[in-house]
Amino acid sequence: MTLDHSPWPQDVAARYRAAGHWRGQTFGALLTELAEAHAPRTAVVGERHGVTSRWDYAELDRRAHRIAAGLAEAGIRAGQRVVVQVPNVPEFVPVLFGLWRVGAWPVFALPAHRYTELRHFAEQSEAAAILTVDAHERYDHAALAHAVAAEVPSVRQVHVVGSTEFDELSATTPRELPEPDPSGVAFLQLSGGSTGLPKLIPRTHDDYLYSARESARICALRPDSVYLAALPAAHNFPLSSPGVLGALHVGAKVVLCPRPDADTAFRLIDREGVTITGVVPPLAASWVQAAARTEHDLSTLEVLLVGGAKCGRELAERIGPALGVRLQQVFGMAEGLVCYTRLDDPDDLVLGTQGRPISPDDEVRVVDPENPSAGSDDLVPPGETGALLTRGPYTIRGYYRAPEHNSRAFTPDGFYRTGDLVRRGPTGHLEVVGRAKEQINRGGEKVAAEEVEDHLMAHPDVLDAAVVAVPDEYLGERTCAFVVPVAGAAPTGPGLRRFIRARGVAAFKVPDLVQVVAEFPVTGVGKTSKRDLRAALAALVRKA
Amino acid sequence: MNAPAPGHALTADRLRADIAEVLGCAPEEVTPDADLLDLGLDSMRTMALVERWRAAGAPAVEFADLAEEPRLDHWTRLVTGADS
Repeated sequence: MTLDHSPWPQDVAARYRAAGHWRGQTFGALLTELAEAHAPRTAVVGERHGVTSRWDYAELDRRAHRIAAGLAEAGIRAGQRVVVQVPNVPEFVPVLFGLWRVGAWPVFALPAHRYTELRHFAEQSEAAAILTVDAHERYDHAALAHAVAAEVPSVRQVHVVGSTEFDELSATTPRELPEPDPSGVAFLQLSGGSTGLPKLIPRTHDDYLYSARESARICALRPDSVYLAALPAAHNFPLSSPGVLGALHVGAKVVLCPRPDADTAFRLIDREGVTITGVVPPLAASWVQAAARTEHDLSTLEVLLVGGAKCGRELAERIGPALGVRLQQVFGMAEGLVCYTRLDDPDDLVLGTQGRPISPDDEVRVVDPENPSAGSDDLVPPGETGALLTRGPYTIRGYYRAPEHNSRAFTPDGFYRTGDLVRRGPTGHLEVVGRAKEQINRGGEKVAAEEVEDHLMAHPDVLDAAVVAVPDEYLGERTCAFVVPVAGAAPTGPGLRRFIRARGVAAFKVPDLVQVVAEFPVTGVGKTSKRDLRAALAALVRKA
Repeated sequence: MNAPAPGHALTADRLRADIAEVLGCAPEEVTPDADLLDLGLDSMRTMALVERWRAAGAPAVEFADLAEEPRLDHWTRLVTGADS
């Protein structure tokens, strides 16, 4: 049998087990344990369509058992993939554990994803079902799921949180289900790809629980902590850094924030006594500004994690005083490696670096940035900028069903080429200084240049397109599309944006700036290499 | 809803100029019924405008209300209580 994913070599896996990193526990078994230890304590608070639910650990456990039984009765089997597009509503948590108890693999779509992306995830994973919500932020997710199901033959079922059918499914009598293999795949996360559509990232119970458990420790989570999931919880950062899973792991309370604007988040911080949350830098900046005028009490907040994109020093310095918190920088990736500044690190490291890895067994190499196939031995001198490679007890060895891509994205000795350019200091802390991959980091949402170009070039008026990052006051970076029209055509920015949105694409991928040009305003490059063309255009807009 | 305090400076023209500034376009492009998303509006810019207009005398402006219908005419009604 050929495997769809790339497990760790046996001797390495044995080492991670011997070190206590991998403990042979599934998520389902973890919840059973938590329900015994913390039964009457609040586990999940959230709202859907304005109605707040508040479930203790016993109730969360019951709901997860019933959803698992309901899914099993509906024909969902261990190892099947289920595309999950559930925003920050309370059901997100029991749905997740329900799927894990059946042994089905959630494929985590984001609420912002639309037809193009959802169809890709369903096709790529040969999903058996889509599990979604009725509507969120005035968008009909049920209709989207049904539209995808109609086109993807493997998808036989659609389950909609908020429907009568789902209410019935969630009331199924619990039944004994075989325990999944804790060293096997638990779910598929999405890469912030740089080549076309996102790749799927297979994570195991063993490796993901290790990262969530250690994250909880590093972020000093306690049973009386209150974690606010401000960003969409399907993202790796709010899911496990330390996130929903890290908080549940210690018996803390998880509050799901339906929308991350300061009004909504501050209301919940005040009402629920939130002690810790995580945001992307542009949101941190917005919260800093809003804190000066808010009527809400933010005094319970102790730690603000900032990650998803680099937090500049100037912003980093304002966060603590404005919000009355300790800043903790995070630099992580859904493929694995997560770095944190430690709560007791000196200020200079907290403000000026993106932290150091979770695990003593995270192997980090900073290699020749000019050579895209640099090996793990092609190190740059200490302290100099290079390309970050990593492998370790919670970093994947390959994407799901992507052998060709894997041969480029991983070194022969199993290091993942992160595509990030970093400097590594004497303490092991990393400073992110840029990236080698052709991706725009739009306020934490990763946008692949090639994917947006493909959408632009589908327009009949567009001959060629190149998409680059431009610095942006509000988002850190945003997308700028250079568009060469076909002879006689005159496409406009608003027209192209409307066109791309109508194709069913996440809003964060719609180009922010559009420059229609007779020819690309650079000479001598781009005839053969899109990569060189993008680099030249990016240099041009940075100078402007 | 929520008319701003007397003496505030939030006119329809001021809103249009503020929107044009954060979008980096000419005020004339911000027509009353243009979909601001087509002009390049994103949620962070909307949040920034909320803060700006609150400070300028419309304390009850909420992100969720603006995000629901991103058009100048709708926003003008929300923020100034008058038509643009």
